[in-house]
Amino acid sequence: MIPIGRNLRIKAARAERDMTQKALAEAVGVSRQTMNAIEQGDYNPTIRLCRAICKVLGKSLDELFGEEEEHEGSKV
Amino acid sequence: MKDQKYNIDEMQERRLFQIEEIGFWLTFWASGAAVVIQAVLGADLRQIAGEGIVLLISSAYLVFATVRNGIWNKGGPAPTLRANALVSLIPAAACGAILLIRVLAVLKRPLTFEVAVVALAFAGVCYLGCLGALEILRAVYRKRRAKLDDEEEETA
Repeated sequence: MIPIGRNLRIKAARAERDMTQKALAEAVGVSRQTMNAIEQGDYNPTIRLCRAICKVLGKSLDELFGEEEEHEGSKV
Repeated sequence: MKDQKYNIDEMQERRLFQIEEIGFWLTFWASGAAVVIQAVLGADLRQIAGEGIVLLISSAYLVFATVRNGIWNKGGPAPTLRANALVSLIPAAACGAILLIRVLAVLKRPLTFEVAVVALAFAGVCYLGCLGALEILRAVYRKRRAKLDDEEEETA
């Protein structure tokens, strides 16, 4: 399995919309600990949840979850 | 996404599965250890029947469910005759050792050539039984796996 790094893009997209982790978690129907784990790279969400996050933040899957040359804060 | 039925989201559900998996294996191996320890200490079949039945039911379910889904194991040896032949040595050695310990310690008989031969023969029978069962399962698994892999793609 490919290790997942911290997802700072979700954090940035949240900041753009002035949304807290809790508000985003509630909007997509998960707990705050799950949203935090996604941002920290501790949990790899299902495609269904990825799409829900993208919809709420108004971003595409590629923008939030697309592969990067180097992961931010990757745990490799 | 929150599961409406259980009020937990997907990560919590996955964590719960992991916790349940660890809990299951703890119970499974603890029951196995209890059976072995009681057998070594001289308990008769009636005394170990409870744990034995629990182990049998759990094992039967695991075998049935994994083979039905075309799964052999998680990360252990590949399903080959050589691997099965090697793995079968473990229960065979355990059965032979338990019989030997019971005869020597519980029945207080000395280790004679005859006792050693009986223990060895018992281990041999266990080995063949295990290997035979694993080979039958391997054949069923391969057939099932081939069927699942050959299923036609859905056409829109």
